[in-house]
Amino acid sequence: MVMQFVDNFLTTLYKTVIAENRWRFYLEGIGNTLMMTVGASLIGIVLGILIAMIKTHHNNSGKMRFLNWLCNVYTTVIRGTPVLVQLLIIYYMIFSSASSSAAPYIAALAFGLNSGAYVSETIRGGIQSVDKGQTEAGRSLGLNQSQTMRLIVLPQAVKNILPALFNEMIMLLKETSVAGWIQVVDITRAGDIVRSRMWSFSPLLVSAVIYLVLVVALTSVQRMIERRLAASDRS
Amino acid sequence: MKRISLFIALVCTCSMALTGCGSSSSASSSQPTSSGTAADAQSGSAADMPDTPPVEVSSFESAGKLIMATEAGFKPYEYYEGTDIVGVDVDIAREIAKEMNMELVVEHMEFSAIIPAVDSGKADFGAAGMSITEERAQQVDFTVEYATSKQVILTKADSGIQIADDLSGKTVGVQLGTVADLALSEPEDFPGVKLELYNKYFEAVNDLLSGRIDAIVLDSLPAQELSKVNESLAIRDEEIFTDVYAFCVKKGNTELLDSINTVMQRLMDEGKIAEFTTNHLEE
Repeated sequence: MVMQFVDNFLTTLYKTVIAENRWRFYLEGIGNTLMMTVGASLIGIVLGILIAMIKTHHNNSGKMRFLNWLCNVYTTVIRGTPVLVQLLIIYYMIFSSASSSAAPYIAALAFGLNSGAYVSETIRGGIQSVDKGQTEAGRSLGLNQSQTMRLIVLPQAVKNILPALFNEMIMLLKETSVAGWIQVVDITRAGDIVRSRMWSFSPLLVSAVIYLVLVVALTSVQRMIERRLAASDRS
Repeated sequence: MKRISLFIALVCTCSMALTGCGSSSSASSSQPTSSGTAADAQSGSAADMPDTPPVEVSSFESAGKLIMATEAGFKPYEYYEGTDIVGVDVDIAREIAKEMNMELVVEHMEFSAIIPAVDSGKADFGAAGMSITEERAQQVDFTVEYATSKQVILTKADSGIQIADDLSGKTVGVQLGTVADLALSEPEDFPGVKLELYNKYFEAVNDLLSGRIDAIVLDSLPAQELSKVNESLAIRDEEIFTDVYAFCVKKGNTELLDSINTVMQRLMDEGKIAEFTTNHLEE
């Protein structure tokens, strides 16, 4: 009874992953998913910092009214539409002449643009959570606005922001699963492709397990970083 | 505490209301042949109960409904006309349902989801211009073949692609899970071809028109329909290969298989299938 179950399981595993080199699809999927996740995270952080800076500056000094308005429009639109719709619009309307081999990179851009809108709030919150006294102390020491930000506020803000940024990256990893809509072979689509050759659902389980392993790995890295950061508090 | 329980009650009511309103993805054929009799799905066969008056079956009973799984993006075999799914396969299915005194329900899904749906019982049979292949025959039972089709190359009229060998080094679009997909995935037969796998044909056509891909390989009748609508597209003469269509049922479902085969054979002998095909090509 148990032997039959194990035998069934191994046969299915063989058919899903090894037969006809199907593991190649999953490998391509993992490669694309990771590339999109890392790319989107970086784009999101850069964009997020930019927007957060503009908004904070505007808050403090009232300058940059137009840029601030632009940022607000941007964040409202991005947060008001599903990322899949954004992806389809970017791929089919904005980059309509791009070749299909550029699709994973366009997807990374789309996810990054989406992530930036959310990350900007995280960064802005992190900056504002640093005690105002720190800024005042920096200014009274003779540092100008940008030096205070760079040397005193931002390093402290990073400690608050980093766990949230990591969370965002883990969310991005799963968010990229819609990239199959523009025919990008990510982990989910790899499962779809194998499913179309196997006519069974086991490739879906393989996809799910791959995502799970990646997320657990990233989470443990995140915990390690958090521990390291917290250590500096105690000393 | 009161506010929390009120909120929870509100959420529960809303979710119940939403599930109640939720409709399945099926689009019933535009003219259901007859309200299903109370005969259960297993015993529906042509000679049964000719004199029994049809019994009104409430729409929530599953007995009396014959569910067809298809991918409605494949004119002339199955395609959307307004909100209804019509086509050659739907016409044949309607005849089958009429013979069996059952109500036909047409469910649209991804092409590669059809065989799993038939296998799991979500649908009674699959009809989607599906070709008989050995691998598929291991998962489902096929009916008699009712049509032949050749796989052709659809490309821009001014592209340099004329024959299959010209596809080398080009990007070719196919629908995921079709015989074109499986054939072009063999690197020995089609060296140097970059394959793009699409779920829907219209996506592939869009990319073909915008230049993202260089050609699509698909069945000849749908290719004809697509080139009629898009004048810049042309079909090349070469037959990549030929295959035959059949409906599929769950493995072991011999009763349904026999019923379908009887009707199909009759339709073929009467020339009805050719008639259906011409009808849907003319529109």
